[in-house]
Amino acid sequence: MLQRCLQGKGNSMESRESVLIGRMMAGMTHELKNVLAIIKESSGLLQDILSLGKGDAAPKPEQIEKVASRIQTHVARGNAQLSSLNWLAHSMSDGSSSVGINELSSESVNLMQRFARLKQVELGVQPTDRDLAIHTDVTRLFLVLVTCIEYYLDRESPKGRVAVRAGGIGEEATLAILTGSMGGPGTVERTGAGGDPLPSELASLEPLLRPLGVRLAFADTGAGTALHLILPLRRDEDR
Amino acid sequence: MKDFKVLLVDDEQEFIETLSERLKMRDLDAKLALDGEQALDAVRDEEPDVMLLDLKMPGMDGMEVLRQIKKAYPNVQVVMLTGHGSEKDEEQALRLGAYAYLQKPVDLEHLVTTLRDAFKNKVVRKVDATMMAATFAEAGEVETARQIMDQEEDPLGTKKKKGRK
Repeated sequence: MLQRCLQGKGNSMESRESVLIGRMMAGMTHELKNVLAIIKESSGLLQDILSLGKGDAAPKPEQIEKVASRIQTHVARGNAQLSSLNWLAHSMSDGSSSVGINELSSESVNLMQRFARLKQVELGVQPTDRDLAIHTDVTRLFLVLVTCIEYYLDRESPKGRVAVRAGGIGEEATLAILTGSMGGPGTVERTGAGGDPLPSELASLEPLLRPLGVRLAFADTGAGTALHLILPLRRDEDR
Repeated sequence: MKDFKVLLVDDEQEFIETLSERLKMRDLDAKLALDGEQALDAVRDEEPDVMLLDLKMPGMDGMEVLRQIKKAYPNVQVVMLTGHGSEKDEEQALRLGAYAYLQKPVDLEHLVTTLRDAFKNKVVRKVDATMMAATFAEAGEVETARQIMDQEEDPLGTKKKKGRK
């Protein structure tokens, strides 16, 4: 679905990116409505328990506690979603800026959770111990990453797992997308400056990769092929 | 208004569990289903009067559930309740036979009123069929009256296909 947003013919890349962002926003606002619905019903249930309890029995403390706890859980859930949306909004308003690959990968995974849930696939993130900073157009890099994540979500069976693993090699940072059946992200063979040829579903990313300085490479893991996004680290003169 | 059977279908388990507790306090017992397949199984086990159905769910989505329910169980009244706000989806759902299309979060009293109205709609349709059959029976057209009642109870002729007399 996100891949198709970037494939629209006759439209500029900017308008296609807008469509993709719009689709993500729609998904997130739907999630937030679900969260609000649970909070609304839970608070309504508290009112019901207190005012409509059958007979003269006083409300049970454990019943109140259970509902109150549910409200807190979903306030936290909503807050996490809003934080990620806020991150995306700031990345769009800040243009090119510095971002750590752990932050980029975790926020991207947060924003893709709804899509993963609808495909019944578990989506996770594996941060790196060295949080490497890259200086880039964060929004466009985010769009590349979520499009690649969706590519794997589409190919994974229900109840499967997809993970985004952050890492670094030399002067480059990597974000590897792999499925649960793969023991590790595999090793990227030497690739050309343009990276590996892309499958048709990801061909729409080509116009975004060169300006970002990003290469996509596939690595054989022995149990499938992981996709690596290879990103130049923020250079000292950029600090 | 006699009690009627409600089926709540939504992948947000805590939402429909909480909703079902509140409906129970309002003398509306509801069964729950967490996805489209569970919903279809539940309807096969015991046909509800009214179904409250989410649109976006993992696996089979609500629109497909609606399509299958209205085809096989056209008397079941379906009320859509979703956080998905597309007018296009609303139009499609109503065209497929949904009784109403509501947005989350919804006011409970409005929801209960809608569920009761949906049930009344089902009752009125059944009364219409009964009255029509009675009219034909009084006119001596007993076979036509029987066909009308058979059609109302078994719109797709499923029981006939199974060889039931």
